[in-house]
Amino acid sequence: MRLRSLIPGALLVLLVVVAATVSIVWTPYDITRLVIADRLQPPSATHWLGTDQYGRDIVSMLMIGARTSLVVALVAVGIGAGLGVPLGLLAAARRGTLVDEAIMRMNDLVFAFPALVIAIMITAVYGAGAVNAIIAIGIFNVPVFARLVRGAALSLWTREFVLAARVAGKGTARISFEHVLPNLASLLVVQATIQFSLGILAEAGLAYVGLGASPPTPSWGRMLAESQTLVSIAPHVALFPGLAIVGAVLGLNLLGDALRDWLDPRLRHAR
Amino acid sequence: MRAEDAGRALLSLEAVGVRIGGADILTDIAFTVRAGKTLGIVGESGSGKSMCALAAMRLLPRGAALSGSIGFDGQDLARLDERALQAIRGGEIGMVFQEPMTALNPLKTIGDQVAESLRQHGTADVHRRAAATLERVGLANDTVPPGRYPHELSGGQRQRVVIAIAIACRPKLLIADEPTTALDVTTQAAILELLRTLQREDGLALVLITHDLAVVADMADDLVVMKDGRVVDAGSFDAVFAATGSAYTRSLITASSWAPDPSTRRKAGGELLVVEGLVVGYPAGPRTLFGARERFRAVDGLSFRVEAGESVGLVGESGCGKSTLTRALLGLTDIDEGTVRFRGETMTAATTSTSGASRRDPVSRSLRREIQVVFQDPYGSFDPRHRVERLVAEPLHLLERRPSAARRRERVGAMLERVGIAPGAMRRYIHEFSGGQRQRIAIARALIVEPSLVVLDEAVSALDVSVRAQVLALLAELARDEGLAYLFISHDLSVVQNVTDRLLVMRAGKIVERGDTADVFAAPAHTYTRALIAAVPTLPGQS
Repeated sequence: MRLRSLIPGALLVLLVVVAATVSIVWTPYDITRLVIADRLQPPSATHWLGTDQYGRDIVSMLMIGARTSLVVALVAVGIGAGLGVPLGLLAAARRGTLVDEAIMRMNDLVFAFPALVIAIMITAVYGAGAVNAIIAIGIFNVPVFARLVRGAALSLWTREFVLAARVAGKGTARISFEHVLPNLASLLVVQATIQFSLGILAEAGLAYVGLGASPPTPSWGRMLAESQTLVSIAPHVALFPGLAIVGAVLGLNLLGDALRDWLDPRLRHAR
Repeated sequence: MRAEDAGRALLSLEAVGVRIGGADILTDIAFTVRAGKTLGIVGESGSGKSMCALAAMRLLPRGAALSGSIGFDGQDLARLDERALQAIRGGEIGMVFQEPMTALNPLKTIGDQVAESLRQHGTADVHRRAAATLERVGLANDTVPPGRYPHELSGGQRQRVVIAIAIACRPKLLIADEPTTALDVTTQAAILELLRTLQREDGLALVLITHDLAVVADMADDLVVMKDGRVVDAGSFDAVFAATGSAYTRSLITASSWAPDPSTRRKAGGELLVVEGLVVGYPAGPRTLFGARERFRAVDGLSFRVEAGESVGLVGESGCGKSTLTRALLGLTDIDEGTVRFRGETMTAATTSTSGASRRDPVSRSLRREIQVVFQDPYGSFDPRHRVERLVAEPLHLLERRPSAARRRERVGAMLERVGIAPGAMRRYIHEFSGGQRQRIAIARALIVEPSLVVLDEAVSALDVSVRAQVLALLAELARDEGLAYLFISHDLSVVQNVTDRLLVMRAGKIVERGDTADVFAAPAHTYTRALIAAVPTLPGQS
């Protein structure tokens, strides 16, 4: 298996997870206290990554933001995969029937609405907040996984090893979970890491229009969004949340690659 | 045209070696292709025969180190730079690949693809010449216009286009790498005839690379036999083929005409499988908003029977409905009309609904146990993510009382041993085995529930001749010991001839001829059967 991508990937993800966990009990500065005198300071010994327009420490903001962003993106991917994968498997197993048709047309319907519109709808009914943002992003992920899984599963259903399983008298549900799903694992890992990074960005977008985590709770996405007018005066305010997102996404991608290789016995023993 | 210099050395490889990543792929290769003559390169998969062709064209994969010299028409190709080589490739040396599906660009018309090769080598008036070249390879412009796209052609026609591209610039040498392996026997015979004609007309030298000795038998003037990246025999075909060949070459010759000892065959007894008026179709043609789509009858009113312990062959070319029939027999697809009975019990019968395929399994477990299958592709018929133990044990699912884990392991171990695989293989994954081993494992999987009929769906078609002979021997042994019946589905008459008692010849969904195998081969009644038998390439000394 590829240690080359496992180690840096694991380190990056670990860094983000540790930062988020530590922030529950300790951060270098209290981010609820605004120190206008210290606003927009460049990185220094006292504020490692500088301060934002309200004088809040960026390290502390990033640590707490990691919590929001990770939770939103991971749970959203979880909802998307948790509903989308079984739906996709079911559609493929019942290909060409009314069940398949119904699932796929429902998918099209969800696809037709942008995530933002769904989020506004949910917010209008249940009120703004991080939980509703998660649900909105999660719902938007469902058709992505369902379509991917259905498409790939359809081609697996015609493979001879699936025919062999049918000759062995196995039912569709059993074949879906024993043969189809494991062979989709690499595809799902890659798609999940992509959806994770899109989730972080989607949360930023929702936070920007006031539908995500409500202030003062920071998230990486909102930090990025709020700093966009300040890029020319204090580039570090935008740079560090950006780097945090890149680092987390890269780490998960690398970890995903290693996981994919490990899941595939053909690659497991390769160099 | 170049008659006066026919027989002179055109391409000669001397001490050619190829190393990739520290491993020797080819070692000390030496042979000569004579102008206007045919050289056959024969070897099993992995013997390096295709690599030889790539080395001669200097088309080796990145990172490969070439040594030795490749003399072509007074130049050493091993020393030429890329620009000079490009002029020779396609211009002086043409190449035909195995898979006509992937060798053509699906987005360009066949005329354009032939013209492109002409344009590359600076010829004027390319389109007229492309059309003329297509005519030469037997694609008459009024029946197959140059404006056609590859998907509009049959496999044989596509291979003709590939040949047209290769010969468009009138090369001196044509290298054909398994040009007929993906084709049906009758198509194969036509393509080989075309190559022969082109060779005669153009004085072309031909290198014919194949795993099938019989294909080169009536084509080659010279023969090279390869094994493990080395030349084991080289010389004139007759000399190599006659007694002077090495032990390996002789074993190849024996393996390609393997037949079981007739005394070991069991006599048939009792009816097993009875198929009556079977029709299986699938929707074809455009879908209209209302009303059902027209159905294409892939299997069109088939009736036959298989008796206990007998081996029945079913031959036909691609598209004749063999695969659809297999699926229908195994209950993997719905049937439109007719019945399939097994030991008098109805296994599948026509369902009333002809719309959309139902996913419910119509075959009872006890019947499923009786009829198992070995598929063609030793690579695709196993889930790559499961260990061999789990793969072989899969049909045990059909038993009323499933064995315990320990008992299951014991049964799988015993079964693997029975097919000649060490029981230690259980803990390994399928990609760790060779094609022949995989096919043995597939047989183990089919037999673990002790069926009385095994459907062999092109089960040995993808195997090398020596491995094929071993697998056939194993099947014959199992039939003798277990009293198994086989339904041997194949496009390859030569395999079916030796291992079956009775023969069914299928064409366009119908059986056109049936009878005892020996009788059908001795006196084929139907013209199609006669054409099939005539098209099979044979080794000298075989009937």
